[in-house]
Amino acid sequence: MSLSIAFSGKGGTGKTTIAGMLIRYLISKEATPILAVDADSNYNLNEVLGVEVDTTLGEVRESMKTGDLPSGMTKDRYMATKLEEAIVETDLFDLVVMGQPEGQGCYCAANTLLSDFLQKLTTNYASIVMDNEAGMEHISRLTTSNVDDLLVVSDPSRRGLQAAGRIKDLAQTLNIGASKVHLILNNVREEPSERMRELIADMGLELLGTVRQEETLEEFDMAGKPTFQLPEDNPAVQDAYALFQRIIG
Amino acid sequence: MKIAVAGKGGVGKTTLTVWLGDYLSRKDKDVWLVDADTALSLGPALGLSEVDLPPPLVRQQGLIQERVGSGGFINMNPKVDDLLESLSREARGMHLMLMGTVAGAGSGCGCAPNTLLKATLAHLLVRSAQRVLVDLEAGVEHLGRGTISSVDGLVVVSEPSIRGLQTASRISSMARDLGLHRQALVLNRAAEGFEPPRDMDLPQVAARIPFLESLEERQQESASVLDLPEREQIDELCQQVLAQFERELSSES
Repeated sequence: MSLSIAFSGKGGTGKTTIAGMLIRYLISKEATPILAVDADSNYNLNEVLGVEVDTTLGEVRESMKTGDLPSGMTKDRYMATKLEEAIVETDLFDLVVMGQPEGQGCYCAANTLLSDFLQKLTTNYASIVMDNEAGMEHISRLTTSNVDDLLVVSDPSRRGLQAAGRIKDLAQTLNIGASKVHLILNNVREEPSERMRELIADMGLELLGTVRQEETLEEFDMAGKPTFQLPEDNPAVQDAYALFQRIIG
Repeated sequence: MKIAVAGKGGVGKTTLTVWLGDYLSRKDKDVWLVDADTALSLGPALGLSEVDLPPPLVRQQGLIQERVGSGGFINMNPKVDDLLESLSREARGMHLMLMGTVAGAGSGCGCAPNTLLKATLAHLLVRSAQRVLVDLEAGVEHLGRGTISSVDGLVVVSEPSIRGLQTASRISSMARDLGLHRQALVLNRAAEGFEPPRDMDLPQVAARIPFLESLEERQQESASVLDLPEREQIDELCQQVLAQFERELSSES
């Protein structure tokens, strides 16, 4: 039985950075092998992790729609091969990137193949970490069983928290139990004010904890250096680890 | 004029979309704002509360069933022109529409809601006469070539971070591949004198959004990005962006 943890939140709140920290945490806990899934159309989990991406699953899906097929191969077989090739493998984790959203027309056939592929793939891993955009379009493609925990990341802004509240509501319709939705307040300069705590409660969210705004992390981000390579004793990494420990152990 | 706004999350796409809309609307233009980002924060950025938001298009199950159908027989070209009024809300003299995403489609078929969504976007961009501003999550590649050819300009927003600029560059080159060459880069929160790396293949910088302390402070209390004391400065940068597209459009014709 694998552990699957999903991230969501408004763009730019740091969900990808924190997802990278979780992958590292899981490596240190030997919850390996790990599959990282980047389901954000503006994908950059690979940049946080410091690996290159050749092909996205969205590109494979698109090529199946447009139908440039080598002779002597069925469409299904060809797509399966291409999907396999799109897995980025490293010593510490594997990564797949969903990529672009659907274009015009019907994607049902391609999506069915994609879901089958993902569901078979996920059985090979001890842990799955998925980085989603606020719409969480791909989350039900990944597993038939429930996501163990949904970590919603927000910055301390009203719009970020409103998006977080909406994500929690969406999570209900996707059958992720309400008790498994946790809010992480990222990039905080001070402990959340009373007003902010009220707003969080109004949104029906449960605050797991905070991750501080941190200079070295910001420098890594600006320079495009993988935050995955931050020193482990970095205060922001330590904040995140403490939160992961509370939900995973 | 039809404008699409794209960029990495959190770089200020929604804020700029609202500012551009407000600027045009004060010039007596009929403006439609379309939220095609899944965080759906365009309404709050206009100052609307949750209860005043229009319903996201993809949640209109009855309507989707009626216009597109379901199962084996779906209409890929649904009629949508009469839906614009009923699915939008007026806010600050503008019309706001929410697209939403087809979540949870993994187990079922998302074709019908997706078809209605794409048809509505296409209608607004291709056939309607209004000013339309679309706040996009990803780039433009999922819109289809026909729709993209009606977009007058793509605004790519980025912060000075490498990750933001890489996303901007990817969005820009994909849009160019699809024939959308009128592009403008807007830099947000960049230090004065900051220039993006030359080798990154980015559109020309049309405007810079300075760090606005008033906005930063207010974001904790309120979601609205309008009525800031720096309105003149904001109007000027909106004008710079629009002027770049107008110049390019007139030199083409």
